[in-house]
Amino acid sequence: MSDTLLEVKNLKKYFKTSKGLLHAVDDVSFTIERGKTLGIVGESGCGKSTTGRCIMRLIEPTSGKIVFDGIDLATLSNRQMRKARKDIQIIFQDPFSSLDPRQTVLQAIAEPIIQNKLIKGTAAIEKRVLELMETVGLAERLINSYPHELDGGRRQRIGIARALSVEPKLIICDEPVSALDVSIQAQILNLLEDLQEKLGLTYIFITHDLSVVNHFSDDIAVMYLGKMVEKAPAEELFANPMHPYTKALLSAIPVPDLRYKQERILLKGEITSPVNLPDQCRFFKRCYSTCAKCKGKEPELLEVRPNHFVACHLCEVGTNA
Amino acid sequence: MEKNKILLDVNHLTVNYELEDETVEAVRDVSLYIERGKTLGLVGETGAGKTTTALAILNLIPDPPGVIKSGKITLDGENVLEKSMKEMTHIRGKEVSMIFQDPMTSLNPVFTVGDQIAEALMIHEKLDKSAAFKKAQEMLEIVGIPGERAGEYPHQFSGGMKQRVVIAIALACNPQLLIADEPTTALDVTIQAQVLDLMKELKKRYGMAMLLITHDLGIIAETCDYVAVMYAGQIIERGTLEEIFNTARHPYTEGLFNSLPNIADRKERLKPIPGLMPDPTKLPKGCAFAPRCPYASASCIEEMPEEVHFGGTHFCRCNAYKNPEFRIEREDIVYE
Amino acid sequence: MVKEKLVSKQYRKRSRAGEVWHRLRKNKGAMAGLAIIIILALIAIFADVLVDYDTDVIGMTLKDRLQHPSKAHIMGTDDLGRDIFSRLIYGSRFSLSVGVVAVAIAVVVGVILGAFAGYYTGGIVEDIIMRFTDIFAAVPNMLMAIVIVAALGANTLNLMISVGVTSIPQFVRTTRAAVLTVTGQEYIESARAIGESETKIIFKHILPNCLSPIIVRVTLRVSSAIISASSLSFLGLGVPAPAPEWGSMLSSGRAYLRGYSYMTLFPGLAIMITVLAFNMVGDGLRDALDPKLKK
Repeated sequence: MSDTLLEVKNLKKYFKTSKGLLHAVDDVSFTIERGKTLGIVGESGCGKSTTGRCIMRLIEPTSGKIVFDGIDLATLSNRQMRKARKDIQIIFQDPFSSLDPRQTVLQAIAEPIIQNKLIKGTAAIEKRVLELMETVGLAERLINSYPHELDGGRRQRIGIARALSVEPKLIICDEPVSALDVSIQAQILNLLEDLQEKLGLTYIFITHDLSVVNHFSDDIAVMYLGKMVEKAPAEELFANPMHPYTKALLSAIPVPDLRYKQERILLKGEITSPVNLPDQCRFFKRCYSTCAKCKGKEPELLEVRPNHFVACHLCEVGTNA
Repeated sequence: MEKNKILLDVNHLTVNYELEDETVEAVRDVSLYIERGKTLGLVGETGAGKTTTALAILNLIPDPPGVIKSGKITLDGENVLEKSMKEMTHIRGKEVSMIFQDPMTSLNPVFTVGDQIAEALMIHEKLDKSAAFKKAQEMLEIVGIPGERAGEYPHQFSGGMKQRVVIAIALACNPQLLIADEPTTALDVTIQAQVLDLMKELKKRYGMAMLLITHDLGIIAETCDYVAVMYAGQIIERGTLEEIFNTARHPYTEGLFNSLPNIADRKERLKPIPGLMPDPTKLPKGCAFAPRCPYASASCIEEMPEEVHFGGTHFCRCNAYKNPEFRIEREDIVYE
Repeated sequence: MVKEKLVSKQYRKRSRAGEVWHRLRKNKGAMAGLAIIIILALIAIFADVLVDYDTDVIGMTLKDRLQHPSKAHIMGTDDLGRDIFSRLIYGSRFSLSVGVVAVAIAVVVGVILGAFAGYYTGGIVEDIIMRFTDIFAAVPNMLMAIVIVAALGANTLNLMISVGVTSIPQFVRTTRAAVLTVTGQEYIESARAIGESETKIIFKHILPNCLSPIIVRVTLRVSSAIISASSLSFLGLGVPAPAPEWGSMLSSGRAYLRGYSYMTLFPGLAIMITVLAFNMVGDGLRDALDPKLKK
């Protein structure tokens, strides 16, 4: 029996711009089981961060269902939503701008506890903050430090402690390590992994870094211009990518191993922004293997193999291009 | 003959930033050289001194607070640090060019891209305006932008296109050395692949040497002939690409490789380097990596490590090799 | 039961204000300015002790009129025989209080409007506030102040109001710009993510982080408010005679500029030094609050 924690159905977010309607997130659907990690990969402007923010309604979705633990978040009033946010937390990309510069470590971690009235009494709150600091690997002596006195890795640990303080069920990690140095990046990734095991957390892991997402996720969804173009279990996706964009993306990762030689697929052109899209495949203009159908109609996300979904006309007919 | 093969030779370079209350030891006794037509990759984390080294080569260290304490930098037989401001402007752009990380800020928004490429040509090649603009259009074609777009302004280009324009400016005068400081960090993966491919192709075509600064070992693996690993202002290991990637010797280099997710075995747990980079204003007396090093002994904290050579160009700075039996855990990669 | 000792009390907290003060202290100009302001404030507070209002400040002694500076009157006397030094001392009350109160009015109104305009961007609220601000700012400050004083009548309170109102647009703009920057930061989203309400976010996270530019603007604005107030008094639209406002002292010295220039020299110097002091502190604060600006 599957134990679904979050089901997102036909999520859409359109922004009005001077040039027309920007389809930031266009009809995205997925489910996540409790305790699992879904990786969302894509390049800048593909709508991956917007998707994450729409789930906890930091950005109001245009339409769609967000069923979290049996409740459709999209139907909640603002007041109800504020309470519901306790169960979903977010870890931000930039450890330099995600902490209030005027708050000490203690204040920053205690804030969510006080806000949600989880614990009462200064001493009890402080005890909990110290516990959380230990969990994320922050030394006790840093309790009164300000963010500007700390390095990126430690700031990111504060962000994680803050997210954990309300005991959420789901954590949305929005590029949590891309601003960090390699050696620190590994420290934080291991910490997130340990926390998942210990606390049974569910993650949505948003990133542009495919090697990180491969290491971290159970399922991976690839987004391009607001649309999910491929979704599969991580192993399957890396072993057998089917969408031309996924293939190009995978081949573009520079691998730090000289034994690993791969044929690189170079895409022509650049990513455009999803404004006033014609009814054709979004990847059409950059695609290296197109068929007659591509220009005429936007392909749908279909299950071509068990649990492997692809939105590409070429894959529909079974000809693995 | 042998001497002429070496284009850039940096000897015992030490650069400090002297601030009001403290001194940052940004570059400490760095020596490196680049042969004509070869690419040296300089890897390291934030604050390791990579960019400062590059700026010193162009004699562009901001002063104050930067002070070049000692060292000699020879570019094509001439001592860069002894040049006057005027002589330096002649060398920059003509002999050596630099590409910066952020293409958004390295272009001037009020001039067309064509004019910006032409400017370098007018200064160094003494071309007149129309000839320079024509050459600028050619340069754009070379980096994969239609020549007609020379009359457009930077804001009309996307990030990847801007970086191509920056490359066109850098290459306009056919420099012998190109310094690229994290040239693709601000770009998306697929665009990064395009730009790296372009740079490789242009390097082959013009036979120029390159100093590539990056924190990404994957990019190094694809583009470099030699690699130097920097930590806390020092080059702690240097060798050919194969030597560093297949037979790394320094514990820090090992740590860097272990920190990266393994593409072959995705569930393998990462092995991060514990701790943090030392404060560059309070560097320890001995090895700067000792506090984070799994092999460190008491003497490492006291003694500054010296270069240990492993034959040819490969060396590392590590005290542990005083014991001839010492080996790091990472196994050498040997091809069948 | 013994109350549990808080762990956080064991570790020293380095306050932000302390750091700013540490940097400000290194700036000699700002410290000199600050010293001048403190001395002026003390003079203003104890003016009653230093001089006697009825005899020294407004009491006319016609036989002593138009005396050049001497031992008895170190800055001379004016056309009505009043000691200029005493009048300057007492006058500091008007200049400082008008400057401070006028700016206080502008800060309260300007910051609230600016915060709303910055937080609710793209909506009708922002449009209304900003268009009104633009219209306000398009009218020359002096003209606006004159109109207000003329409409309300010339007295000290109305002088404060008129100078204050003309300063509002600057604070609206400064605050809005600062709020816009801060609102874009991820920690605002982070506060929303833990379930804080919008009002709480504005007052707890946004405004405190906008303080630096506002503080700087305040110090710089006090000095221009002092100039505006003096100018209005110079035109006879400020503090009514015989009160010794520096601007009106300048004005009354104007008729005697040729023979008795000290009558304008000393009030002029007083205004200049005060304004300079506030400007130096303002510049110093700007550097101290934002160390990134200094290279």
